[in-house]
Amino acid sequence: MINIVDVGLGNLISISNWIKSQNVQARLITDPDIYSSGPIIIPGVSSSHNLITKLKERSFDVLIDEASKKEKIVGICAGFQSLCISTEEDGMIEGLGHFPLVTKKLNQNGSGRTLWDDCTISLADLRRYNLLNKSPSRKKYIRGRVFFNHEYGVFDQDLPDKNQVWKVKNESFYSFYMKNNLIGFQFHPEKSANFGRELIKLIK
Amino acid sequence: MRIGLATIYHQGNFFQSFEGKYFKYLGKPRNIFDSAEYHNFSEILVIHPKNPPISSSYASTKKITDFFCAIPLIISGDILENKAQWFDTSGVERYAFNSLCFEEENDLHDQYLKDFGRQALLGIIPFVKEENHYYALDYSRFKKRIINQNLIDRLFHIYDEIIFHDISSHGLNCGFDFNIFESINIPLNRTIICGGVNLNSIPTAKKLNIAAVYFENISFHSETLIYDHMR
Repeated sequence: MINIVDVGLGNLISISNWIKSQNVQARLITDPDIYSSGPIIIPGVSSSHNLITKLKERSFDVLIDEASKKEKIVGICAGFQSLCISTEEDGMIEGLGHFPLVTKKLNQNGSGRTLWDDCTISLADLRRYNLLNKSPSRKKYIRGRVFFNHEYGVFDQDLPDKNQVWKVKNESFYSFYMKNNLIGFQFHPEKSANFGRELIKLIK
Repeated sequence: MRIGLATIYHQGNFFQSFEGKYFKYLGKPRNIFDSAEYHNFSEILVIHPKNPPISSSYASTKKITDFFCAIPLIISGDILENKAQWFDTSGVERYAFNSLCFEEENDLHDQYLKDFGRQALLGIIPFVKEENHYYALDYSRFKKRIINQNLIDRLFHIYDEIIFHDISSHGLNCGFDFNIFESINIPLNRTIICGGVNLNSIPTAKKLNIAAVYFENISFHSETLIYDHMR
């Protein structure tokens, strides 16, 4: 059972439909007390400032802190940004601090970034960070086109970490990021056609 | 450049529109979503008309979210009246506003920005050309407003992208009217075109660095003959 954090923000139903389309059970959790076990997804399509505020108000920060010790945590778009140290969207606010990264505006001229781009995720990396499920797979990578829709991006706080090579080509912001049991996607896997379908089967 | 699909949605079914006056049944959401993904469309614009000749209730629109769509959905029409419910369902990724575009001061803009993020908000300007002037249609007030630089600057300040919808050409496969971009200064890399877009429109759109083009179904099926009979 995959748990989708519901604080009244994000494309919750899209994510639920995405998971269920691969015959995996999913449910929305509106209260940390409802949670018992299983992976947790923090959805996107919202302002990261507002999302972080609501996660903290409802004590989901405590749940994610505790659950991340043994369960997979997946952040999507604003959900990814909420797992970082801070965001400057709608005024600076501290994030949940799981990733040593910061969220900043991509372009000061106001334009966002909406496009499909190539993406490759190594199964060895997923395994290294305890994000791969136990089903055997002969694949080494999942490759495909993924959908980005964001005005803010996730950057290194200080010097770039040479071990983390998951940045968008020719850019300094991350396409996705992994740390023990946690993964964040700047793109929307739930809206990335076959790439998304493969991904949810691997990390369910 | 993204290439999307523009469709009309009414009471659980999708339709092809011709000039916004005549309608031909296209299929159920499942068929449309699968077909759009099969043809590698980047996204789907679901136009949900608020006013006659066809209009839909919120309940019927909500049914769209019962179906898994593996590519992004943009909903347009009847959003404001049902804001609370959109939060409940949240099965779409982006929202395209028409009526709100024409309100200079409205707190809803700030509220939507806070709740959805700017990347999720689009403006949609349905336009017609009359006597060498381009007019934007404000559907909820049944008004035509001249498209001027002030309007454009304000909208691009609020929204992530703007959809220019050529109503006169919609469903006719006759080409989008690019002349609208000659009289005003528009950031074309944040502009989406829709209405009459055909394969000949693509090179021009690419040359202008347009962000996305939306096809109507007719462009692929040469249904103009059917339209001629319907008239």
